[in-house]
Amino acid sequence: MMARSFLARRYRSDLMGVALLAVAVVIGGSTIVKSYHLTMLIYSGIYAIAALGMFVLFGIAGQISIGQAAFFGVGAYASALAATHAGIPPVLAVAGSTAMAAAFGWLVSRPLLRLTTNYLAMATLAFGVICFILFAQLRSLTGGIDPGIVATPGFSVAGFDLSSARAMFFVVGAALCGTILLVLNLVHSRVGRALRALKGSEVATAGLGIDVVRYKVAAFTLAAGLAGLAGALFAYFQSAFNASVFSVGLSIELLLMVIVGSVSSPWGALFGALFVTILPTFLEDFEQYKLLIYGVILTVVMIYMPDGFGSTVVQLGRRLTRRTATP
Amino acid sequence: MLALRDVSARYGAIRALEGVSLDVAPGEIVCLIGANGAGKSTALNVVSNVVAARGGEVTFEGERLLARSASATVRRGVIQVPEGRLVFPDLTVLENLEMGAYTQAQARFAPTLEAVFALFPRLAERRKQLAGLMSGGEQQMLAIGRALMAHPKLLLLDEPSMGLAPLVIADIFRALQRLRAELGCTILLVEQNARAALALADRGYVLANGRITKSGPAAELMRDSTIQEAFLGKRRAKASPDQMRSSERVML
Repeated sequence: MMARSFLARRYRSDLMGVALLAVAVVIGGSTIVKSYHLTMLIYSGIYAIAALGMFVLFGIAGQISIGQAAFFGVGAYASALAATHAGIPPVLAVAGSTAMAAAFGWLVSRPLLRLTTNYLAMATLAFGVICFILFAQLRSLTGGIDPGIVATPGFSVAGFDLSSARAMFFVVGAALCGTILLVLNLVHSRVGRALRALKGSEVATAGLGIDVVRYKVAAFTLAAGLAGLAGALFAYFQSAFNASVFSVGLSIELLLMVIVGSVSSPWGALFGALFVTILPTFLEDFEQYKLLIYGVILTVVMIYMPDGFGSTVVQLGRRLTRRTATP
Repeated sequence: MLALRDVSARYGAIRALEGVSLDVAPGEIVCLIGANGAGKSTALNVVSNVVAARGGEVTFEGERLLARSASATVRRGVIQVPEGRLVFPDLTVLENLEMGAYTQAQARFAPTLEAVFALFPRLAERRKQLAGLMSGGEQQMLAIGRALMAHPKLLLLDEPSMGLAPLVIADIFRALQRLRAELGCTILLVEQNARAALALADRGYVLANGRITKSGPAAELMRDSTIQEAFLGKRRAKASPDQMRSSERVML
């Protein structure tokens, strides 16, 4: 069938993309000299993992969340506490905190997902604010805003110390490759199609015998889990952090990454994460105006590039190469 | 095949259906006509379990249908084509049809797809196109095709003529006729376009303010002068009889 082979071809080129990403990680990790550049790329990678979860929820299933920072925070605190107090090996701690964030997401998704559109946005926003307050106030557990979490032991695998920025670059790169592979497989699966249908019309999807609630809960749980994974990696890389990281600002940035990147392609999340992470470094002199500038960017992108800035650039590139290829 | 007995439904304090009883026999096309807000869509939504009934009994092939989930109803072979079509705009035509076959075994997919394409050749031509980019008529064909992918024993159609040009409506209704002849589908049709619906159907029910006010063979209802008022209401009083007749001829 034509359409299916078209999708199959898309899938193959997506897999090529993952391979290229892996190669880029290896080359970048071994050639980048400035630790500042490494650090920026590590943060981008970490946020990209959470943004990929946001892409599944918002881009594919059409469900908005402005509370992802909560799951990011759960992942970060869970892994930091597991490492400092319980002495659990880092890999297990990361896996455990991912599962914990996913479980938390599953738990809150049932009441939250009774709502749709603006109401879902408001409810997830409120949920994010509540969690932020809890992170800041449960001082005995989280250390609150000051001092927060201090001196999380560095990341290591089977006794090998991987706490250096260069080693973390590879760790985050591997996690990112794994995550995008997972999301790509989801996009091209039967489940992905059901989620895209859900975005189109919930009523019609239910009318075809599809358990809409189950799919929405699954998407929310996956997004929460990926935010948790990103949070756990963040905790290990950062080693010291406080509750202020997990404010509503982070939730909005994660949403921004998907909207700026692309709502129709998971690759957009990578682009969006890079863009949103690096942009502030150019705006250092305009600290007060940061939110204003974000607002302007978001508005311009939504009006002129409804499919995302990343997608527009890719399409533009394709059009240019096609024009030069067929004179 | 389908029987509603004394079915009532309400939205909050508003009564939408009041003791509605109707029957659909196997192989029949039955239409439910009435004005805006008469409760036509609610009746369909109760059958498909999208809206919960307050009282009464719905049986399908002798089994209770009420209080099942919407997906369980689909699995019993009762498929609804929703009002306003509601195709999935970001999915291709083929993907929309694949969604329709969600509850079906993989092996049945290809032959069913062929049957749908035979009924609506336009869909075959457009199989790779995004559904959201198609015309209203094509989207209606797709919505019906998508429902057919689930092998309906009973097809519930909610306002298939909505917002479509007269020629397109004629096309769709012709397809519905073929659908019964070729696929043996039983159809319960809800329509505001009463003339077109009665021309297609074997029998009809008239719904006004949530109650069945009249029923009988479609040809008989078509001749009934009081029917006009029951579903055209004020509009008829405003338009002159001559104008009305000519516009109705266009609709047919």
